[in-house]
Amino acid sequence: MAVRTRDLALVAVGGVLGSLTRYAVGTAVPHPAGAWPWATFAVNLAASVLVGLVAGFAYWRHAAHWVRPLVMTGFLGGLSTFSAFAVDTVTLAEGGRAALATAYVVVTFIACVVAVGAGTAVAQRIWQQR
Amino acid sequence: MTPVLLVALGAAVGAPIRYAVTHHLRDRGATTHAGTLIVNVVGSLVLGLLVGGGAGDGATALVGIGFCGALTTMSTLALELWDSVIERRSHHAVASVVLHLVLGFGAAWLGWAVVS
Repeated sequence: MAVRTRDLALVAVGGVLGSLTRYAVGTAVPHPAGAWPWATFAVNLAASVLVGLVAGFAYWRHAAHWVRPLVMTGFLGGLSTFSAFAVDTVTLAEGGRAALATAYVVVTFIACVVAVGAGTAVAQRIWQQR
Repeated sequence: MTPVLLVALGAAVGAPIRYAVTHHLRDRGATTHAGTLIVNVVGSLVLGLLVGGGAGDGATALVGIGFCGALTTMSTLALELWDSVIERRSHHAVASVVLHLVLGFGAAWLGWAVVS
């Protein structure tokens, strides 16, 4: 199925809103060099728990078509980021904080995957028909 | 332009590209992992170049926070990893993590190292 213009527009709108939220969090919680990147960690964790929740909602409640491109791909994709995660890790390691960089990578991957599972579990409790 | 507008502008380009790349590859039989990997590697390379080169505030807002931030994603990656594990396709999850570690972090380092 070809990419639909309407879906691209929904992804763009969601992506802008998610990215502005990420920018606001990054501005509110500045990232000193050599420290754990709390803002990026927080938005990635929040986006992961929410994507599990919304994916569960979409699955159990047969959500409208626009939910996936606007909320999941757009907003939560824009809220979360891999590029800042990767570059922050590199600058931590290059700055002599190799152990912190390693911990940051391991904790981010595990926490985000577990967060998706937690979001899905909550969605199942709320929206699965019994 | 204010930083907010620059971030919005970059994101308005980055997010639809991520969607189009993933959609395009999935239509050609690739798993969704492939599209996510490609956008994450490309975004990491570009942000590495930007940060390593000491870009100014405007370029950081437009290209770094806006474009690269919206082009790349952790939530979709985490969702794909979770789905792979519960659908007993753990080899997909392992491959995706390894490729992100090698190519994603490799690209970020490469971009950062060549200009800094």
